[in-house]
Amino acid sequence: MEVMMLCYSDSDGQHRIALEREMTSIGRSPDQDIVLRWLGVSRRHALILREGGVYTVADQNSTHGTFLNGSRVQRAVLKPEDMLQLGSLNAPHLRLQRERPPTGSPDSSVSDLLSALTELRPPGEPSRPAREMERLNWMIRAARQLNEGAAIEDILCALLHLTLQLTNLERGFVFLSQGGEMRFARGLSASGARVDADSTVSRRAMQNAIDSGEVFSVSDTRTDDQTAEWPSVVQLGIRSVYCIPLRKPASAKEPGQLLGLLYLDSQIGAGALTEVDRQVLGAIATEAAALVHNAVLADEYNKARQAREELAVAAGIHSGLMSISLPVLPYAVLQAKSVPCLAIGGDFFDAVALDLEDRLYLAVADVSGKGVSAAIVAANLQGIIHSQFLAGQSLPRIADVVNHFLLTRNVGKYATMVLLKLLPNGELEYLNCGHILPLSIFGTEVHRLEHSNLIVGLIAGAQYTSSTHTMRAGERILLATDGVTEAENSAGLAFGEPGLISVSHHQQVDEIIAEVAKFQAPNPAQDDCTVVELKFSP
Amino acid sequence: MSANVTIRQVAGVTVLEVSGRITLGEGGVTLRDAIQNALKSGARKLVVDLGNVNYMDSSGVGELTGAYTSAKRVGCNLKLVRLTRKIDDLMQITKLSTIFDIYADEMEAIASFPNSWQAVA
Repeated sequence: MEVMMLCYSDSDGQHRIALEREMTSIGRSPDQDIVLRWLGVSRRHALILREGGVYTVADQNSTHGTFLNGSRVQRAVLKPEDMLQLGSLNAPHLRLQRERPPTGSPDSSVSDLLSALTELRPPGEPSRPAREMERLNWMIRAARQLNEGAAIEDILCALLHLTLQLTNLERGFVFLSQGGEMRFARGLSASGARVDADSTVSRRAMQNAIDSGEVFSVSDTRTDDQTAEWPSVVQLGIRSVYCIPLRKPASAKEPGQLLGLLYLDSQIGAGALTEVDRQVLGAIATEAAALVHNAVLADEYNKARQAREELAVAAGIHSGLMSISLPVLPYAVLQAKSVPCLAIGGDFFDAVALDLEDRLYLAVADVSGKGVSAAIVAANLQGIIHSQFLAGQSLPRIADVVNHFLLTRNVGKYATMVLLKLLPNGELEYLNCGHILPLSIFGTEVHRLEHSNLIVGLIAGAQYTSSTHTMRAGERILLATDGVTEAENSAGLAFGEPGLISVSHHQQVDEIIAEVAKFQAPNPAQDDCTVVELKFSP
Repeated sequence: MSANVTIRQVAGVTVLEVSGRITLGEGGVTLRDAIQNALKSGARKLVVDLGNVNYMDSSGVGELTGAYTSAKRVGCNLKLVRLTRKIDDLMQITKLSTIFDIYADEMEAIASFPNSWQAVA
């Protein structure tokens, strides 16, 4: 014969009492079977009688009355899912439920659970509002609330809020699995106050849930032999604890994954959850886990996209800084092209004409390394050299300044560079700091400008000296960075200085760059490529 | 692996024999790590033998430059031996040949260290 359960919650937590006896008394007096000390409850308030499988409630002349499903009654038959209230219609609900064996696993999805709930109705009976609908409504609202949270923060907040509401426990924490460890993500107390990372959680309970992959729950540690002895339980006075693994469901492609843990506890006993409540708890946790997983993926995608965008902006700024408009002079023609191998590079060139009749300064440089770090230093050096040119500084002095700058900044970068100064009469002064030797091309003659110095940014106090060369009308000076000479073809051969000499007859710098690209093809460039040509044409 | 480094001790001097390609990436990092490890384990006399390096570009030069500064910082005396023609050219262009001690062979380099003792024949 089926026994009905009387379920209710009070300040001691949730209660579920089997109505096994022929007579169960309810009232304020301590001698009653069920003692309720709520407002409006008389000392001997009501009886629940059991005759075979039929239950009846009988009011015992209580002062404020007994109410069944919202109507005051003296004596009435009770059915499952009926709701009793003692003393007033605002009193807490006492629900009658069938004692059902557990059905299914806590991992049912929301929709499965909703359909399971609707199947609870015994066939042939009209649907009852009361508990079933209430739980259904609660579930829908909960799922909606969870789904509204786009950010992980919102989802976790909603999850804690809902599960604390459902279980009546005092506080909840969500831990997210990061780098193999459970890291605190969010904490909430039943009062709605945010709780920061707290060490007073039962790590052992958490570990149990993690190891088994299942919900670990103890509704009353006092009556549970296993947990009653645990140090964390004893020291922290934990009475109820629930640890629910948050798992990303397995898909066809990947196995399920533990994303985190929902931990709820209370020092006040919360009473056992009903089976429906357990299933709801499981469903909520699964729903939240899936949402958290999506939010984490979206987060990572956004961060990667942001990083790419920032780099694109930096590259844009860099190319703006590097876009030198070459001066047009009556005695010289300049051509220059720089092709960075990554979006942003460490090569640069600059040309400054102090006065159309005075002199022309030219610089070509290569900062060690590649990418953003080289580009930052390159932009800096370009600025320094540019202002030094404008001030009409001597070439050795400029090399000193750049050397000193790199050494004192301690960025671990050095640079090679060539500085040139051309006067209208064809006199060229040049200072080479460890850079590829410039080529002088006159007709079919190709020579190197031999004089050279140490790279800049290595030795403090290094001495830099320049040398001179007289340019003839029509003579060209060709400068390149090592991205040109070190370009490799598929056979592993380098373009080298011979390669540069072989293409030096091209009148256009673009053509030279194209030749290098052709030589390298189909391999991509391994380094920035810069070619600058200065032609003396008085 | 694109580069390989073997370590030997001779008469109180740490010798690093480098072979393979020293470029940006694995090779450069292999060389850098070997030198850093030698310096960390207290080597104060270091010889880097580049005789079996079949290719080195400007990033390799960068590694040697880095090695130079690291060694100097801890008071280690660093010397280079058996530079191939190409590497020698590179060192000439960058004028690094003026700051590094470069020798044709190991024995010469070892003997050049102050307070070095001769290996027992």
